[in-house]
Amino acid sequence: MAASVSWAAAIAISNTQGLVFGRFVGGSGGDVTVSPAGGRSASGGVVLVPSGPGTAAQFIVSGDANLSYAISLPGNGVVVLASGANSMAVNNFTSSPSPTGTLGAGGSQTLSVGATLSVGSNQASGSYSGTFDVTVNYN
Amino acid sequence: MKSGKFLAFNRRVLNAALASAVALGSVGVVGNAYAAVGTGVSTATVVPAITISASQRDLAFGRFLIDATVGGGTVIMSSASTGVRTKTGTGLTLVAATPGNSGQFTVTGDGGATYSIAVAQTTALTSGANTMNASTFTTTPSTPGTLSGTTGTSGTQIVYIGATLTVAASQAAGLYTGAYTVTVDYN
Repeated sequence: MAASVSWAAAIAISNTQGLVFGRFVGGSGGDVTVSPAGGRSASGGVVLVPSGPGTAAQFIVSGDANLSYAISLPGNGVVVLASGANSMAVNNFTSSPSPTGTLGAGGSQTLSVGATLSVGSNQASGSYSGTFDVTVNYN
Repeated sequence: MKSGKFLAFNRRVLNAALASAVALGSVGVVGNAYAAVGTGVSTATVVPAITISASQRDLAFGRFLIDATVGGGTVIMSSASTGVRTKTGTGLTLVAATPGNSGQFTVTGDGGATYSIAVAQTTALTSGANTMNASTFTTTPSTPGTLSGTTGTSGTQIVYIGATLTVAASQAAGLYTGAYTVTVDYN
């Protein structure tokens, strides 16, 4: 009996750059949004400080060449950035590509992630940080 | 004969066992080969608004005399912390007893931050219906300024203002006053 076994290389994802909302004045509150392309914008009373720009998060997804994969981003109400007892919520995660990706001929693809940060009125000054998970699976 | 069959049987079993062992090995090494989770860090820095105080000292040109038969001139106040007053125009004489001074404000915000300083280009000083213009405003520091201290703590910087006052030959005597605006923004 002859049998042949073939299987796809395991899909993997590694983080190469964080999701940075940068430096800003909270003022009367509002949102800071970073797009997957890395552009930063503010709404409401938030004033961006130009010398502290934002960056989109970047991941490298790898596996079998030319296979497609689904992308799962955090839902709303899950991710929070904290500074001591103070926090700000991160929602509306977006990615590029979305909602699926396709690994290139070399078996990898860059996945960029953005989101929207909610800044409260009179948000306490400080450095805030948190983590978020991105899941990829062959589809 | 019997031993031959036995060997063949063992060989098949061994091959099957190897195939399944390889399959199990690949799954065991990477966990679920069909899904993976990556974790990223997200950060943000909230800083206090940059603010500028009310004027802490008037930009004062002091007293001076004009000889209308000779001509007008200018009175220049430097933006040094102790303002230095100079003049142009032979018809204009500075009164030494009233040397004037530079204007002064204090800027407050996130320590160590750099910020732009902008002053209105021209401001009128008036005395009743009479007017003189102050222009060519200067500042110390010149833009951009840098607040003291380090980020996360409150920082300050004093900003001094100077300007040039244009005086007409026929400028009427009197006390002239006006207002000028200084605007600061984080860089």
